Amino acid sequence: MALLLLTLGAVSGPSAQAATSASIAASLSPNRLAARSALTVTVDYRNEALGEPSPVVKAVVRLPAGMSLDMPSLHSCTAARLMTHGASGCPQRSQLGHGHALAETLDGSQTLRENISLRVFLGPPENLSPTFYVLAQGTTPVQEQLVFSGSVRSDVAPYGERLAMSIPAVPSLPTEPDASLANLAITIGSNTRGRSHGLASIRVPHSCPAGGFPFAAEFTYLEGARGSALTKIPCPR
Amino acid sequence: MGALCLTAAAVPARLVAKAQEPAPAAHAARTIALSETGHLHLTSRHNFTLNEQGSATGTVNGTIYVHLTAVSSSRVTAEVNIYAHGSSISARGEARYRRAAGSASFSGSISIAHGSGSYARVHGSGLSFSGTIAESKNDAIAVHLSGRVSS
Repeated sequence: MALLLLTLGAVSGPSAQAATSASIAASLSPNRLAARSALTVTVDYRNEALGEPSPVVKAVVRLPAGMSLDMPSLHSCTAARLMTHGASGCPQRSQLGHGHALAETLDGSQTLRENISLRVFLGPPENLSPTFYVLAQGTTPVQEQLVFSGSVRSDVAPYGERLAMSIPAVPSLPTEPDASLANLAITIGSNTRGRSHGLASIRVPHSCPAGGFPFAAEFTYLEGARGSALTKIPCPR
Repeated sequence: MGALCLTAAAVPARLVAKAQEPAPAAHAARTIALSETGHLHLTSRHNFTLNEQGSATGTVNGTIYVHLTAVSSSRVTAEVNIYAHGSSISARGEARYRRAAGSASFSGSISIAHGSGSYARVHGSGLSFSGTIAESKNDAIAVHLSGRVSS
């Protein structure tokens, strides 16, 4: 698995001086041209001035041109089923990926942390473009379940597609402010290696641009500030 | 599903005459340039498939059916049927798919899978296939097919 950790982080908008910054990393498994792969994207948020990052309300991840999500089974799920029945309410083959996140809340001088599991499902199409849902579940210190949605759109070079997500508030303890995401990692697709037909996977392009496959992410934070980050996956050898 | 059907009236008379004759032992293939435009409306959708019906004009005038299925976030498969005067041609293909705000487009190639009636022997591959999907018009699509087919 090839991994190249973040590069740039930039912020703009309100409160930019005390803004949250983000860094991203991406990896493919396998990292091979024309392969059906699993793509893992990790994001770390930090705010040196305040000690706790601002809550993220919108995230956009831009994938390199030619990289796409293969959906051979075409099973989808709905937000209502996820909210009512959890992951078991959706067809197994509607699952696109999984991951985890760490949410934090400042409680006086103490930081409360909650580990959250993430599962990603294919949602109903918009036109013929896929949508997806992320089921987020945490148990300690707060038992909670959130479902938020995202869409896939075409992008402009050097990117091919953009995944946009609206992220709801992450509740914390009563009387405490909503939690902030400190980091998250999501893996989309599976490394099928020709065995598991019908599972979604990331199709790696047939060629690699000079310098590697480019990824970008853009974030909007609760107070309106925006940030961005870039990374690349090295070309397969 | 999808078929590309050529109406007899739109095909050169010699091609029609040839197609209606008993099959000769040695058949000399003829080619014609096909350029077809279809304007369709959505009749149903099932998961990642749009089923559409409309009218085809150009080399052939008839009724056209298109079934578009997304197989990835950037590719669709297509089945096209055109019917006219009791004959039909079916075609299947694949296209790249792009979606921006409010509309989507696709572009790729398509091949004739089979024909019936006057077009039972029509065949061709690598035909150009492109179109748009208008979300503001309930996913109505416009398609264009062009290339050379043999009979």
